[in-house]
Amino acid sequence: MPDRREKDTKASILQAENITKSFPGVLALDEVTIEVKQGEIVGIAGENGAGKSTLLNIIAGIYRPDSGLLLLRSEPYSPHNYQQANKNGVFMVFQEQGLVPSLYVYENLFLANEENFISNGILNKKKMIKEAVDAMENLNLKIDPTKLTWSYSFHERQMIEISKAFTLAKIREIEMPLILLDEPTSGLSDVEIEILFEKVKEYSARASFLFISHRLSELIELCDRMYIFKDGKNIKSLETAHTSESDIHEYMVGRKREREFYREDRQITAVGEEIFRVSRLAKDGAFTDISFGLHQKEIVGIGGVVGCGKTELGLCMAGIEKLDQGTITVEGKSIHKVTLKNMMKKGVGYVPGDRKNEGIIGYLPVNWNVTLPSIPDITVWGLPFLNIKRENEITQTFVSKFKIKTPRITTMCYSLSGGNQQKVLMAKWVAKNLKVIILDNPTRGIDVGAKEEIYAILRDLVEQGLSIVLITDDLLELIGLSNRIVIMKDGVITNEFESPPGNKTAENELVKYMV
Amino acid sequence: MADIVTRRKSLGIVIPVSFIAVLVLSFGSINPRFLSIANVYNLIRQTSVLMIVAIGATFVILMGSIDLSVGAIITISGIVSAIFVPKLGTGAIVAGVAIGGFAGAINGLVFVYGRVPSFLVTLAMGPILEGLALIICKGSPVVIKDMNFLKIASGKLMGNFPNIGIWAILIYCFFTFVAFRTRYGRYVFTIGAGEKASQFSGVSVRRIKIITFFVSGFLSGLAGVLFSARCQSGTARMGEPFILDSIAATVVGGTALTGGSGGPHRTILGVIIMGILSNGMNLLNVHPHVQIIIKGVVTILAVAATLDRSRLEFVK
Repeated sequence: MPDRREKDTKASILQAENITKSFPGVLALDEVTIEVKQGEIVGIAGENGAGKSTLLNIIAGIYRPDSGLLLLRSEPYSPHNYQQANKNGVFMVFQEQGLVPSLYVYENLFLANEENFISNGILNKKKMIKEAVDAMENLNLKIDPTKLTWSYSFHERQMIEISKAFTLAKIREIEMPLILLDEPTSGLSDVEIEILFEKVKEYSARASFLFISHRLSELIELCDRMYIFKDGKNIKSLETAHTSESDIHEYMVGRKREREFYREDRQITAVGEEIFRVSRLAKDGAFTDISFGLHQKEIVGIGGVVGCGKTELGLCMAGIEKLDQGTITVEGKSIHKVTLKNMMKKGVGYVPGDRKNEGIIGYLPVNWNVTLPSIPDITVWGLPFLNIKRENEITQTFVSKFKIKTPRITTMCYSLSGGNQQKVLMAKWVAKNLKVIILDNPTRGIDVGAKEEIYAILRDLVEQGLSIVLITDDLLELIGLSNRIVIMKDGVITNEFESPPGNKTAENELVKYMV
Repeated sequence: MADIVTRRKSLGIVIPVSFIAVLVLSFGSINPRFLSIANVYNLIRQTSVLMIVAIGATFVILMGSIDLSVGAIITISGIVSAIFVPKLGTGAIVAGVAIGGFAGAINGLVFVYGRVPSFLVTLAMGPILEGLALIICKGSPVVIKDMNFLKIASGKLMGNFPNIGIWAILIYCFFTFVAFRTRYGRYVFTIGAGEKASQFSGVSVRRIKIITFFVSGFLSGLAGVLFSARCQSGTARMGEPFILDSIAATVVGGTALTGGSGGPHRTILGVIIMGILSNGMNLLNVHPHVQIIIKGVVTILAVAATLDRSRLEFVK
């Protein structure tokens, strides 16, 4: 690794002192103090709700702190909005991507900053394009600024956002911008993450970075130093060179992370009969010739980079999207028409990866969410009336079983944390007494503590007879949970692995078949 | 966190109820005739038709859509039933209701299968139906003379309580039950609150949407029949005021335009408020044109107060 850690990093870029911020009912930041020095890559770890994003939003001018002091390059700094932060050389790469897809790349780079290219009231596009081309070259990016933004992948658009920071900094003649990265890796495959990290390390000669991630391994790999936030407080500062994931985990949740995070000890080796089989499934433009079987009490994991077709495969197996070819067999009986309703009737359910939009309904209470797929099953005397009593019983059962933290079963789901929302989402489908559940990224965007609880729930369910198809971008999760692993690349299966407990495949072995 | 939930819900009902109290006290103290039994019955007569239309509007709005054709459906069903009275007597009710249901079903089908936004479908359906109505009645009012038919609205089956009020109350009770105690009702809420998630949970979203527009059309048809009985004639454009009023009553009562929250049980509050405003302002001899302005202001205030801004990414 280049000696970036030994370069001159003494000058301070950002100092946050005793920052406090609360929202109605929640103290998000409690006298937090951190520092970022020139050329450093500083990470922040912490569970959901620990305050990491809030701090970044304050630094980016999106929120104003209730109290505390910010110093940028040793000068007082209190941006009233994001534009002001930009003017001071502070830029943020947003999780939801701050680019307008239908514009050209160069238009996005200079969005809201066009005044630098105006002469006599007319926009000088040639100059904009030239600046953009220079910037991309400078940053070693193979991106053509004259192409439309949506023609680039999520990952490439993220690089465009980062390059935006550098181009705008250059226009304002700011030497070393401060770039804030808020969970840039969720939504990226492992391969794309590697590329992102390479670039960030390359750019750290010319910028300072503040980086938030859920994934401890990423923080250790990328950052020079890191802070650990817990319940709105900065509880620890660490040099990443001498830190292990379990150390961080211990600070974050207060207990040592055990090897049994994925409860490999509970993996069921004596699986039952084959309960679900797909043969030669194909969908134009997504995947072809997909065949595999699932036994009772088994977990089959499907992995691959973003875009390999596994998400579409999940949607097709669930009956939500149409298959072009192939057959699906449940308990030996082939399914005539693969539709969502039919698959549900035959005992196959699907838990979508996009929890917020496709999974639970935030503006409805917990009990209405949990019972939604089951409504046709809990009738009153066979008539289409609702059985409110039964609904509440079912909800209460799952709130206890899954330890869902909610003030009441009638609380609106939007007020639950991500982890609890995911539990509600799972309860929804488990309540239907299915035989097979297809999960798409069940622990996306959830903190370590909640993940552990969900893994325990999955192990419970499998012990009780459920079979699971696990589609996930999280390699470690894929390896830790599955009995067998199927790897996809560009729409076809490239390899299958047995994954018995105690003899699990290494990540790089799997990645070989993904790229 | 729980405070946010319960506080929002109870705030929701406190506002319309206290507003009603304020109105009653104000109007009552300025003109004591406002509080007389005769006036209460007047109020019931004046608001029953709106009550019925507004229930239909509530279901559509709960689902996240909107129905701008209710006025035209009232007109055409009022005229058609008036025309059928000489031949069918009270049976003309069926004709009116059938036309309403049919129009509503067309709205639903074009909305679902044509993938035309409900705003546009129903906006266009309005003039189409009004035009048809004008053709049918040849531009002049259709007078109703059959006493039996007129009695369905103006008669008094129970003491001095107006028949038209009985219709309104029955519809109100029935559809409140439907909203909270039937599968269909539950699905209307879930589609309004989260259509994608509902679809992924196995809800027949398309079927529910078509049914809801049918219900709105059906209820508007019924309202048209009763309105023509009350006015003793079917006239072109008679349903026009109900377009705004039905939406206003729904929203003022506490059902959010964004869908998924509120319900027909709240719409009665909105209807009462709009009714009291008109009734009270009439007794105070407020000019009719000024009344319209005041109604508009109240509607905006109600929407502003109940709008769930967190669900609107951008205010367009």
